[in-house]
Amino acid sequence: MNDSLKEKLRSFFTVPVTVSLAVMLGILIIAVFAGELAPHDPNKIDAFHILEPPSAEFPLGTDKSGRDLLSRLFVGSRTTMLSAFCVVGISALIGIPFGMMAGYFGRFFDRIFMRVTDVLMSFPSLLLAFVLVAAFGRGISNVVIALGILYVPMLARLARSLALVEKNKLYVEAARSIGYSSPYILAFEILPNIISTLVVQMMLDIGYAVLDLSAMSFLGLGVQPPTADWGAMLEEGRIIIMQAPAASLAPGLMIIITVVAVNIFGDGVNAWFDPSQRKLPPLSRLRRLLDKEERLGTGDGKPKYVLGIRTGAAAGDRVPIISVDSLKVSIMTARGVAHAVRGADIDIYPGEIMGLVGESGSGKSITAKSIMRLNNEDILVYGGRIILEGEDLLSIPEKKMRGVRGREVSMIFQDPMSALDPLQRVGKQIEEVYILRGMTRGEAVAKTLDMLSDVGINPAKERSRAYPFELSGGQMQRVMIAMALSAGSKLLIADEPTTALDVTVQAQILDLIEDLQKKYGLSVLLITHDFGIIAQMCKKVSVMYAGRIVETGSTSDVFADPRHPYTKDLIDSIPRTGKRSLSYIPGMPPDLRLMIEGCPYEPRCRFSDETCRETAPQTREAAEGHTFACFKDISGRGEGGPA
Amino acid sequence: MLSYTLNRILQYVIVLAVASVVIFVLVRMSPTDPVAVILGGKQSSDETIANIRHEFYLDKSMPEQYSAWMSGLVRGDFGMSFKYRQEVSGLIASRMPVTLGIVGLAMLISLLVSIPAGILMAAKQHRWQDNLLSVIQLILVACPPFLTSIIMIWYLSVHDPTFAFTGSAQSPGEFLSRISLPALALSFAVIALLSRVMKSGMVEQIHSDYYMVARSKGMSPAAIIMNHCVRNAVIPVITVLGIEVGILLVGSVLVESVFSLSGIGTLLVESVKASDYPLIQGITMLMVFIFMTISTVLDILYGVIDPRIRLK
Repeated sequence: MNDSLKEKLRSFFTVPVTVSLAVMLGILIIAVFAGELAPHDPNKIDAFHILEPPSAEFPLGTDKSGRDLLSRLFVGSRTTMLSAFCVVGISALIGIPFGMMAGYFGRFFDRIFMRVTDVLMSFPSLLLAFVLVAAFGRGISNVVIALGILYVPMLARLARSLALVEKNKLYVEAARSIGYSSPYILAFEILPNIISTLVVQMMLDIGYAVLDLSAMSFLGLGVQPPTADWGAMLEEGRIIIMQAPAASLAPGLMIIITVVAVNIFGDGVNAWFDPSQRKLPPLSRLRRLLDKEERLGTGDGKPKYVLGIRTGAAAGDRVPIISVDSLKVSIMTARGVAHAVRGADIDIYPGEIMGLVGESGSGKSITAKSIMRLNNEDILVYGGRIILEGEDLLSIPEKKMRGVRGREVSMIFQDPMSALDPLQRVGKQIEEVYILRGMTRGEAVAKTLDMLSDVGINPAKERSRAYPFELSGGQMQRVMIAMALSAGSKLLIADEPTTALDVTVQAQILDLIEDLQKKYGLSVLLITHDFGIIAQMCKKVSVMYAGRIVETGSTSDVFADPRHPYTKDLIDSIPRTGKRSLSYIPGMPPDLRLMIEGCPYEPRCRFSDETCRETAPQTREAAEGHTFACFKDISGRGEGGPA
Repeated sequence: MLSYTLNRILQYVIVLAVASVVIFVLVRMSPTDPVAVILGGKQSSDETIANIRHEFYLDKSMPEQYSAWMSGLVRGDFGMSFKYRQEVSGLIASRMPVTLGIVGLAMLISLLVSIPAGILMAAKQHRWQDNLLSVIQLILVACPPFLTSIIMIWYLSVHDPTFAFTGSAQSPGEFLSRISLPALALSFAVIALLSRVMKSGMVEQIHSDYYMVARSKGMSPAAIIMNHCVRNAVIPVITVLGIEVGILLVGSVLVESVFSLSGIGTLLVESVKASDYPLIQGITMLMVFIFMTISTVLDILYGVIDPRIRLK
């Protein structure tokens, strides 16, 4: 057995899944071997042993006809389980083919299919079963058929939606182009790919079937005396509950155990199919893990994270408004721990627009969210400091942090369209900020309108009554900016604020940020993957790669004389007029789950050598206020420079 | 909004019409001879049989019988019961309060329990509160209402023998006490389902962009949950509740029979056992009608809550 299969099996057989599987097997064994297991004849009436209490001979006691309850429970399990399997079998035989065909062929067939299932589903649950039993008579076989039909629509709709997804996949189109017939494709290409999901649903249906069958028998419409199943036994036991509670509690318990086991198993299998549903280990374990790694080091005495010297430290006597100091952030994912930020240093000075540039996945956004402490629960800020006005934001209590958010530091995000509650008018969502700060409603409304006209939303009064979906992306981003600045924050973090917008709108939003920065004397951390935007907007820039800042300096210095090969490659890949072809950086950023011994850019770097592979470069100074982390000094080297 | 509403109403009328045909045809497919049911096994002259056939429209063709039944339905005339020889509408009307009371109360209990439970589970996801409620949820799903009812009766008979389960209610208070236990038993499975829907809706909202934006404004998680998330997460709960009305209506059959209450449910079981076709048709049609009406109204309400639908 290879390791990945072993790992897969281990992740499948979690404790709940294993236990529920064992319980289900136990019930099946009881059902199959009921005849052999039953100590007495389940239907034998015995006038001498009426309503006996539980004893060695009759472990559960006897009923009012002197029949052994344990034997009846065993045989009843067989009836119930067999019936439940038949119900699900019938629904699968009808539902899966029709559902798959509806999804695959679509059009007219699909429309008929949907209407028919609509009508079937308009009957409240068991009601159709009542009508069918009324028409064709009582008895377990009629109930099984009725329930089988009743269960068709749900399963069929699932098969339809699965087939609908599969049908557009490449392998189906390939099979079609080879000339396989539709029935062949449905049965041998699509079905194997969707069967696992369908089986999980069928398992869950077994649970529902047990409940419904018991209900029908309980009402006297299912099995007829003297046959036993769980529902019928419950009905018989109900009358003698005071004398023999076990008569109804035992079959009741069987129902509960079966349905619980089926549901746990179904949930477990679903979680296994969809790892995003899987519960992640708690962050405390991540912290312990990281502590251990830290203590052990990487084994050869080399520091794992490159802390480097403070970047941009030589900025004269000015004090940064916020200072991010060797920040380390790790993320717990279903596939392991990703070290997303590996010791990042960023200083932002008052009244400046600072750029942070890098590819997606370089850790820019997580750095920004960590400053605001907005990370989800699966993200752990593991090390470093974030100093705002002499205080480390990472160590203040959450309640105090709430006062910092919006008032000291505020943020705008990439996708303005999903950034507001879709059910509430935009104006109200800005007013909320003022009310939170203790203003009255009237003041809040007035302030909101001021703020909206400040960001160019006109007419402010009318637009403030709009719902988010009624505004365009550009207008929404303006609203977001208004909201971010509403509490008088002096530092704005803009996380890819224009990426989701049309090109023409992008320029307007950037202009707006620039205007507001001047008007209010804001400091801005502008995060982008677009060096063009950096050149246009920012006084200073930091370049981030694989969780580290690889170069920092004034925008003009960095453009004129990039010192880190990555910076140079990024600048070279900016599209320019007159440039023949778009250049790109070959290769991929490193897997952040791995420890990186050397320079993270080494595999993609044109200038790298043995040293780069083995040792991580320290950050060093190129000129005053210009730092970079590379062994090579590529100043003036390489083909083609910046224009 | 207007076209959305009209669309839903049109769909509603079509489904009701088709459902009525399905019910009618299924009942007619029965091999049992209605005349035998009406006569209850008594020997009768051909003349009596002919009279009965005429009285119950059995001498007419199927389409004629159907149109007679339908035109009656529209006027509120459900026909004559075979077994009781009474107006079906009268029989149903006298049984209606119990069933509607049970279903309505069960809906209320379900909402009142599952919405806070779902919020708590989402807010404390993966903590002990969530784990505990998840286990309870699993057991509630697996408890059929008749079993819960039996256990309730057993417990109360032992601990409070004076508690009156059945008998006609003289005052609204007594009526409420008669229907409260059946409604509670009935609500368990619905609570389990709705709290699950509420939880997953809340989890989705808590992981949404706007939640983070609201936090970035300095709002506390509790304030964001109450001001924004709950309303967003409740929408699917309302939709599912509409579907659950059907399960509650049929489930009422089960709890009524355990608590020996004379509601529509017990009447339906009696009519099925007696092959009383007009009664079966009447009750089934009424249940489909109630179910479809409530889910349609809820769907339209959904449009009122959600401005994205309302303003289009």
